[in-house]
Amino acid sequence: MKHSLAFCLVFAPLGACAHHSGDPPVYEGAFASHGRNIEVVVDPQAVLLPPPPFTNKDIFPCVECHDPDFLEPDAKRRDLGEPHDGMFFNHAGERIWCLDCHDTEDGDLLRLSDGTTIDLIEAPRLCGQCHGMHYRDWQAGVHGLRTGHWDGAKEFLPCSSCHNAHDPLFGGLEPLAPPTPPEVTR
Amino acid sequence: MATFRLFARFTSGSLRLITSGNRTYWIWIAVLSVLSLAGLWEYFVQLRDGLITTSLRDQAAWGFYIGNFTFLVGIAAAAVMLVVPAYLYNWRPIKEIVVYGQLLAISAAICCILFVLVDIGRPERLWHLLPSLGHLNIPTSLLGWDVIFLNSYLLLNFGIVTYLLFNMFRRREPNQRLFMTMVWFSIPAALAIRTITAFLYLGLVSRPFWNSAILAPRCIAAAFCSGPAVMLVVMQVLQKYSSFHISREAIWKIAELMAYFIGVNLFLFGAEVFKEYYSATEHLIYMEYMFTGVDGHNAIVPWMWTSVISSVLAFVILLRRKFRENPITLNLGCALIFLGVYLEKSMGTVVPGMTPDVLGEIYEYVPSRSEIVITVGILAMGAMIFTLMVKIANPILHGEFHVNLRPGGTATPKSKDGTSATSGGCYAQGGSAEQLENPALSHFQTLP
Amino acid sequence: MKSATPNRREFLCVVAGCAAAASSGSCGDLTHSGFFQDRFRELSRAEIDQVLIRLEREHSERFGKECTVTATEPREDVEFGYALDISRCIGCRRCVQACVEENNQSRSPELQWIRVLEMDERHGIDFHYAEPYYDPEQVPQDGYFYLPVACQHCKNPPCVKSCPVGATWQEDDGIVVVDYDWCIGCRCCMAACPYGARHFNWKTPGISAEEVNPDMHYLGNRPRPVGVVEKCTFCIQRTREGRYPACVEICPVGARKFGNLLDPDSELRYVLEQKRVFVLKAELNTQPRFYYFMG
Repeated sequence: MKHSLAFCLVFAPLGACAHHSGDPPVYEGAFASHGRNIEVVVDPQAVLLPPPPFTNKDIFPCVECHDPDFLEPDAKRRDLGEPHDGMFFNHAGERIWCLDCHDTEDGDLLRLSDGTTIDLIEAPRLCGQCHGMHYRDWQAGVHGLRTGHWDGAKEFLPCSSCHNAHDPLFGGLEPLAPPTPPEVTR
Repeated sequence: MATFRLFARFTSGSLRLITSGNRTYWIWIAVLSVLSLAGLWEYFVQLRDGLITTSLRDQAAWGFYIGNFTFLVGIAAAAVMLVVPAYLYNWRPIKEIVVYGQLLAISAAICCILFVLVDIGRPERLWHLLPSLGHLNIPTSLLGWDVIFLNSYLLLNFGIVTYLLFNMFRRREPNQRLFMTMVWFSIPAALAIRTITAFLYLGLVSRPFWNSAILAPRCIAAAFCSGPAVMLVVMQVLQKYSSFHISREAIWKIAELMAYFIGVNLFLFGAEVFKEYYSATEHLIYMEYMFTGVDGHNAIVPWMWTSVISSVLAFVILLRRKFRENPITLNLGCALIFLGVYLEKSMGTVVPGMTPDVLGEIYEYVPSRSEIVITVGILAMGAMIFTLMVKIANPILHGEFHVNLRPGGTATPKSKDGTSATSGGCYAQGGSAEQLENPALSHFQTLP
Repeated sequence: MKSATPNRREFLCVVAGCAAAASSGSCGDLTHSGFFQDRFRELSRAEIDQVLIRLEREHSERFGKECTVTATEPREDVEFGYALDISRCIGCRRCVQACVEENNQSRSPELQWIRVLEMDERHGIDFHYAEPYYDPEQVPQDGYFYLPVACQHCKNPPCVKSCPVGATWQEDDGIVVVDYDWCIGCRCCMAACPYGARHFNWKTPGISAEEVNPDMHYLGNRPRPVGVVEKCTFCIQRTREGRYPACVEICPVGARKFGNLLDPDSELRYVLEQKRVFVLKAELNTQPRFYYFMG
């Protein structure tokens, strides 16, 4: 299923994350800067991240099918065939596939290029490996939506709150009504 | 004290003058009253409902009111065309009629103020414009300057005319120093009201159509041909219906000046047209909207071509002395100038300046019924004020109403200054300028 | 300027005396009651407080719910700026609606501070090809990009210059505001604005009790009377309290950025330093604080 923009809207008031079981995950430490002469420091206290808004219960969690006890991982790049037919994948065309991001052993973890496995909630670190500039902008609050206070605590969303990682480009949105032309303003 | 008593007599006599007249006079007053009242009623509706009753919208925030204001500022300023030859050069044919030019200026200036008044959204807050009581935002606001100069000009002209007429009424020479000081101030004030009104437009960087340095000279040239055109027609009408007289020399001189100024106006306009079409920047679109329409929006196109053709025709006609001296072609020329300049300086200035709007939207502004009724009402009020003032000025200037005479020509038994009042009614209607022997006009000869 | 105020006050009191003094009591009340109220900029803090109390009472009565009217002042070392990513904006007009709701704009007749233009990609930013009335089933449409325009809060604002009564000015934090109780409605500022950002109340603004946002600022979203000009205030009632403007928080694609230009760590400074930025009609030297960028 395609994530819609409307989805992002639903999650925009991050008060929702307070209802998440347990403490909301807090991003650890300051984000490293990818650019020269750029020091983007995000106050970890200020960055509250909600859980990734997966909606398609058919494909999540991965281990439901990819239980290493029952299914031997096959790291060979190939057409996946029938069980994955319901999944729409449109991310960088042929250049990447599942195991470029998901951990081979545990599909519900992500694996960075240096081999470190991270939780799904930390996806921005993974995304930032390819999308460095967007990652940097996002850290600075310039890519993506920010709410809260311009002079204090800010709330913003991780990549997968707005983008479907499997199909990151947005679809369209129905525009609200156009303004009333002056000819008919009475 | 004596002055006050005299002034009271002057005032009461004036009141008697304007409340007596023949049938034509009363029909004329009745027509103007009806039009004024219709305008007042529409204005009341506009006050009650807001400016939504107009066709003005955010895309075209100024329209018919401000357009007419702009044109009439020119008419008001044009009195200076008579003031300079009359008072500074002491040229007699013009001197005889200069007061009427000033009366026209007063009426036009009042109309201008009324047009601004009806255009603003909160007229009850006008006191905010008063310096010290409110906050007049000068030097940066050009409307602020316009308010100052328009009112000063109105007061100056009203002062000059009243002072002159009152002194003629009491048969005394006006205090030259005081009188000439007012005259000297009124001349730059006339140029100032026209220039500042032009600056009101050209100071707006957002509207390339107006943001042109020759807008002010264009406006002055247009004022100095359209103002006299109105005056000539009005004065001929006055000559027909009242004891007013204008000499042929005066008419011809005014017509000649008119011809030059419509020529200058056309030249400056041509320069503007060349600049836009030859450089063909994105600013060309306003000119295109005027002359060819844009994307099928062409409500103003026929009017603009009418304006250009009228002005050119008027120039061609008035350039030839033979036509200027022929009353028919002269009046045709005046009518064409009026039409040409009115269309150019009212709607032809305001509408293309705002269409398309700053974000490229084309809203075809056409004045609403209510705007037209209010505009006609204001013009009717202006005409009424002019009529009443002429009704008072005429007999004074012709010695038919002065301190020793009751209006209507009956001599009072005893005259204050000892002069006999018999000359009061001697000025024959239609007499030539050379015959002017009226002592009431004597001050003209003694002016510098 | 200040020294003249008491005289003016006395004069107004004399004028008012003829009309209403008998019924309204003290002179102090009169000068703060609507018609005789002074220009906001010349009111003392105590006078402002009196005005705010009166407005709160009036609005609460009118809408049948508790309304608060503040006049929070600009902060030291703050100059607001705004940045909009035109490579992200999809023209969905969510910002327009959020702005209308937050800022108590008239619903009938419709009045909107933000105008979203659909621009033809073949012509770039050429307003001749701008379409504000686009209404497809889905946005963005192929071949078009979207350019929302509202008040640019210029550093050199032509509107402020043109106002004959000083009813509009630039605050110390850069917000260009209008005193709705001082504006005479001459619309010089609308003629002067190169961005079509100023809007006139051609009719008494229509807004219902359910729709009204009760958190108001004197220079911001308090309900406006007929016949005066209004415009975007960067959500002064929110931003002076440290919050983001409503349009920033609603934007579904996060195209709108807001912050303090004087703070080197703000989003705004990041945009100015890292992105390709332009302002609308730069040639007019209005020096907008509203930047468009391509992220």
